Amino acid sequence: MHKYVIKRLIMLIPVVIGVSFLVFFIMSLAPGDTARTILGEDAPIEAIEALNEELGLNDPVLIRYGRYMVGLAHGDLGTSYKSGRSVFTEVMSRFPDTLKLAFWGMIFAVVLSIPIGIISATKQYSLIDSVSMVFALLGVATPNFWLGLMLIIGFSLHLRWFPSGGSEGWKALVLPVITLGTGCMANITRTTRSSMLEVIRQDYIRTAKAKGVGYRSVIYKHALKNALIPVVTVIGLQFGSLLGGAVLTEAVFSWPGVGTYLVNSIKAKDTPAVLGCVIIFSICFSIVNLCVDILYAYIDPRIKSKYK
Amino acid sequence: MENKKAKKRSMTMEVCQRLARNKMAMLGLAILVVLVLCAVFADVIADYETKVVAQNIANRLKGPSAEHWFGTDEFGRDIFARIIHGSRVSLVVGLISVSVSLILGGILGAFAGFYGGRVDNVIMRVMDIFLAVPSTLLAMTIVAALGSSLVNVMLAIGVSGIPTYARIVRAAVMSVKDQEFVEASRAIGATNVTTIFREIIPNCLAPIIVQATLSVAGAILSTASLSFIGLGVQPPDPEWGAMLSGGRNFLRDAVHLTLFPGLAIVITILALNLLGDGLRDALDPRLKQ
Amino acid sequence: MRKVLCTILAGVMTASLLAGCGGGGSDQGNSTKGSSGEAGGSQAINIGINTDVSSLDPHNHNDTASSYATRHIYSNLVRLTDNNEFVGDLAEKWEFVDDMTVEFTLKEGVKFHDGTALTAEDVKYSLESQKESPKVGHLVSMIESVEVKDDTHFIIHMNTPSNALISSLNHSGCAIYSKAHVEKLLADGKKIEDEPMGTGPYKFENWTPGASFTLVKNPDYFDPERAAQNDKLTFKVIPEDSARTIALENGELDLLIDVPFTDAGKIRDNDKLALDEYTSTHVEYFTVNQSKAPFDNVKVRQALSHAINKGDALIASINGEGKVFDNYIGEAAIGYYDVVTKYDYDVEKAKALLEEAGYGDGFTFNCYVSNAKRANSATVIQANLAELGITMNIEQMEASTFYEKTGNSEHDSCIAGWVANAEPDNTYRPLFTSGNAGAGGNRSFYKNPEIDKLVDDAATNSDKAAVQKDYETILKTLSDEAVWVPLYAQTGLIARNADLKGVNPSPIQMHDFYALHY
Repeated sequence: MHKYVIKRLIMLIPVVIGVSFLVFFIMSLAPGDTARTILGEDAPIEAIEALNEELGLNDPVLIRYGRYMVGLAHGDLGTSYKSGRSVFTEVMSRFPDTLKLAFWGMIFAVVLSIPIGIISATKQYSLIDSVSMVFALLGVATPNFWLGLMLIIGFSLHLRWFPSGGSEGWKALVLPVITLGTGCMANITRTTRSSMLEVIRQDYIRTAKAKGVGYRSVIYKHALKNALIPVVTVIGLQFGSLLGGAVLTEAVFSWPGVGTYLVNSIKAKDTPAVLGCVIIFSICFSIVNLCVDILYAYIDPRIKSKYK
Repeated sequence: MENKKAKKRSMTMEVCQRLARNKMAMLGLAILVVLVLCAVFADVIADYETKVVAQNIANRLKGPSAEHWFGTDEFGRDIFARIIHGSRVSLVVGLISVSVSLILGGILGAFAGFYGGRVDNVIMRVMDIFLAVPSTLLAMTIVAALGSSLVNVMLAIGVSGIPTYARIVRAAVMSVKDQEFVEASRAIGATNVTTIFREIIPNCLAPIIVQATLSVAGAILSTASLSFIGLGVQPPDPEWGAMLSGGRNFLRDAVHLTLFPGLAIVITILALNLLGDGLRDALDPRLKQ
Repeated sequence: MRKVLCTILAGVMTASLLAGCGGGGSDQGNSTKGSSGEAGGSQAINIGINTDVSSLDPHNHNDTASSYATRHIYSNLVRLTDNNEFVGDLAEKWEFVDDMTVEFTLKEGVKFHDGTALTAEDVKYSLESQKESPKVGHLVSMIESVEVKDDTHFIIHMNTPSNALISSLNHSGCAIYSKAHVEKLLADGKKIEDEPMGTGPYKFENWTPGASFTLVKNPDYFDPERAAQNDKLTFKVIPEDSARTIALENGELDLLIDVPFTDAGKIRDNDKLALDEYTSTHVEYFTVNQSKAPFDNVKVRQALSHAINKGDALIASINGEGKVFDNYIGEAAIGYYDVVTKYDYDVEKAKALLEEAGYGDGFTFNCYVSNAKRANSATVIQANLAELGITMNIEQMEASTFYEKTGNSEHDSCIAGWVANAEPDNTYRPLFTSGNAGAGGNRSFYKNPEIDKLVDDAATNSDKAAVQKDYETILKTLSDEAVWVPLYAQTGLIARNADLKGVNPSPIQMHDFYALHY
């Protein structure tokens, strides 16, 4: 197992290289006048040209990529075109806020969704099942920026329970976490339910029931463990969409995280900043996926045996 | 050979019959049929030139009335007509982008899960690279690079969804590939490709269908998100997500600008999900007996 | 347990949905200022802005949000009054010795935030290092060198006669550093923005990127009339429009600079809030690419000018918070003269002109825009032109892409906006001269040697009457040739808690906040 984890961690290196390659070339496809975006509309053309030269933007893509990779090999994420500051510092100063949002969003989603999914599955076609599935459907169907705005109008403007934005204190966390976690929660609820339903119909569950194992024990010991594999997959995947969804949530709630920084950087064609964010995201996300795979091994001994 | 075809037909019949017995699935199907009819006959229901794009600024932000069932938007255009025509855009975006990710991701995931080892490693590491970039951001970057247009939005959302299917299909394949029916198929000398497509994929369709129904919803919402940051379809084309984002500054004064397109999205997704769930139950091979 | 969870879930969702439905009502925020500061103001005043600071180093930015910070931390040699006159700020006085030489005298007793005295050496260091800046170096390109006479006297030598020197010195990029402080920072391997320090009415306290920055009062500010009246200013970055208004309504903000146009009415109707309106130098315009047919034909451009309903564009894009406009530079700007030819909205005239030009059957072209507001204007124009059989395809894109594509002449037409600053040359030169066609800012690709000559003359001629004549001729020519279709001028809006005093809006968005207090 240790060997496997170390192997997977080493595999991060090609992932990082791949991600940087992918994003660098997508970014280079996009036409964009970086110097003009930085200097503003009223800067004279000479200043634009001088800045493009200074940033090395006049060189061919491959040379720029090579230069970037040389820096990356030395652990240097480069300097933002726009601010002239180290990308690593810029991203790291915002990363904890985004992680905090994603983490609590996930906790919110998981804590609510798995029990609801199980209840729905075990009481299929009951009232509870119908009600929670309707809400799950609404959760999936509601655009999170719209939900965020609705929450602000309701809980910030009318009720004044929570602030409309910012990141100071737990109160500021409530609305963004609900906004971010709702879609995710709905997805996990549905997956838990459908996966549970499937498992409940399997022969071994029938066997267990036939053997006279108690109902709760069947559900929580036998069925849940097997039903969790797809659920864990979805949770791992949802973590990525949480990071992505954080972009919109951050915008609605003025949350000072990496998402907002990344969107602004994409818009300004600030390639080093975009790459920096994406690389940090990708490392973070790969580690989450590694955890998911390790979890598989604990849940399903058949998979575990393959790691040996 | 003849025998096999006949067997297949009877299987399809069986699935249809089971589906037809599921009332909720039928409701979903009915809603979808209505939506498709709306999309097909949009021009008959409301003329594009005079209702969908013609403006009347003096009559803007008016609430629902007999003349304008869903009210008018910030240009004084009829929201009902725009939603009817928007069904075309949304259904097309949803279906095409999900087909792109489903087909490409499904194939990759099936091979990775079935072969395991090096194939699995290579495919999944490439997927990890895609997956490492949150799909919204990947879609954003692609649209920003290729330019805003309906085709690019579909492509971007489709591509960014590939790893999701690859992983789900892989996980599903891994969990069924050691079961008896697969081993049996191999034992009677079926090739790997045949085994994957004949035996394994049909047996792990359930999670894929559930995910696909959610993804059509996701694709429609991703389009809305792209519109929210100014990377959606171009005006004056009516698109539900763009209507939703365009109306967000009027949330407090004229809630119908976002209410009706929002409802259109919710109803569509609801229908897709009901049908998807029904299909899942109907397709489940374990329900055959 | 299960029931509890279900109930909670259902409760949360229902509440959020109900809250949403309630949003349609006309409930006005009954705003209360948290514990509003008494005289002297020890409470921080919270100011809402829509974009973050890009840098706290005046040489490293050229944007409005950053200048809110640096204009209060640093001082300039000169400043612009409400009457559009330049007066000394750090400078006591100045005198043109000849076309290329200006003698300055500094005020006595000006101290930096660290207590050291301002000297002419600091000015020399600041201006000469500014010339190296890619972001604001161009502002002082006319400065050859700075010659220090003594602690308070220095001479600026120019390399070319220029009318822009004094106005440039007012720009936030020409802030004066402390030489000793900056040299020490650089020697320690730090950046100027790590510890911004100047002579301004406010001192820098902290900056949380993406969230907020805080300034505190400088008790030793040199100009008692312009000293800070509140102990603390906190600027909060809130990018989402509706969230910004709500933050003001429920008292999280005291002052809102970037007021969303759709919310102006709500703020006017709210007794607890006040909306200050001012004339800005902003102009929004539609322009065609004259290097392409049929837009090289003046009749086609005039036809477009008659065909576009500016009033509708004004309402659709900024909710009517402005006025339709015919000029090429903002009304409040230095260099504005009301001499332009006006084109009224007249579809018949437009049709006739198109017939004359030989395009009676219409044509198809694209229009590039870089934000939703402009996409709305474009949507109105699209519908207007459809009546003439002209098909206009709108392409909305990111600003950086817009700059690149319009710079390369890929567009047939585009919609853009311009905020004039205190120097008219900074408006006329980039927008209308041949040398700046494309990426330089002249996205109309309008090339007229006569205009080029007039712009050059206005920039250097020391006779004010001649300069005015130059600009008037330029404006007349531009409008006769229908280079743009100016659409509208938006009203500057600042919203605040009704009890907050000391708001002093600037038409060029260089607002001063030193006087803010309760």
